[in-house]
Amino acid sequence: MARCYSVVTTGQSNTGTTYPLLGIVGSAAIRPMIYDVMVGSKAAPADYACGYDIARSTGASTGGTTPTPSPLIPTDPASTTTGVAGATGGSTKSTVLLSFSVNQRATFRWVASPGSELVCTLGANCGLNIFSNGASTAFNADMALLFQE
Amino acid sequence: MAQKVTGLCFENDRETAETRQCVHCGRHWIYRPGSGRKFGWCMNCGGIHCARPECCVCDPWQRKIEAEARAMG
Repeated sequence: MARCYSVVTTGQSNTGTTYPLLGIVGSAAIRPMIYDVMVGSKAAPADYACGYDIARSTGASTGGTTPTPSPLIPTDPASTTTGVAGATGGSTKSTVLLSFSVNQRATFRWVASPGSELVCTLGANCGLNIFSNGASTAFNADMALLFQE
Repeated sequence: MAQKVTGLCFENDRETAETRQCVHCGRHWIYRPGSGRKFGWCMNCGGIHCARPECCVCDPWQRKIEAEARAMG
């Protein structure tokens, strides 16, 4: 049975549209699949909006942080998949698998039906990420991805 | 033929939309009946596709992924 993990980031400015705000990176040995996406903001409420893309990427991200995925079952081993947040270079956005727009006041969640998860390409440094595709005014967003591998 | 719901969108814990997935490229889109968005139906896969030119030829995304895995050994 696939093991489930979560990776989160908070206070991530959605001003940049080129590099991942939050993502997971697989390998040539493992193919992670995202089944749950959550986006919200705890910034002072304001009527700003931001569009997001969940897209594949290639190449190793640079900058930002590398949050460690947490197993949903505490006794599961650490994931082979790694996390990336707030990258500032390196990776290249490719196929967009899901797009949505969120008002800053709202919390958005997308849940995949079983068998319809967002599947990462198999290969070194191949990732699945949340990208901003433009904000009316940038704000800090909180995000979480649940994935299985 | 019924279209398969491939994902659900929630806003503030309230279900607001469904998503559909292209059987040929694996993309999801938020499904809004009456929006005018065009999509196709693959008679071979028995599912909807996103109607981009490259997705009008039957090549299921799951098969692509399996081929990729085989290629990686």
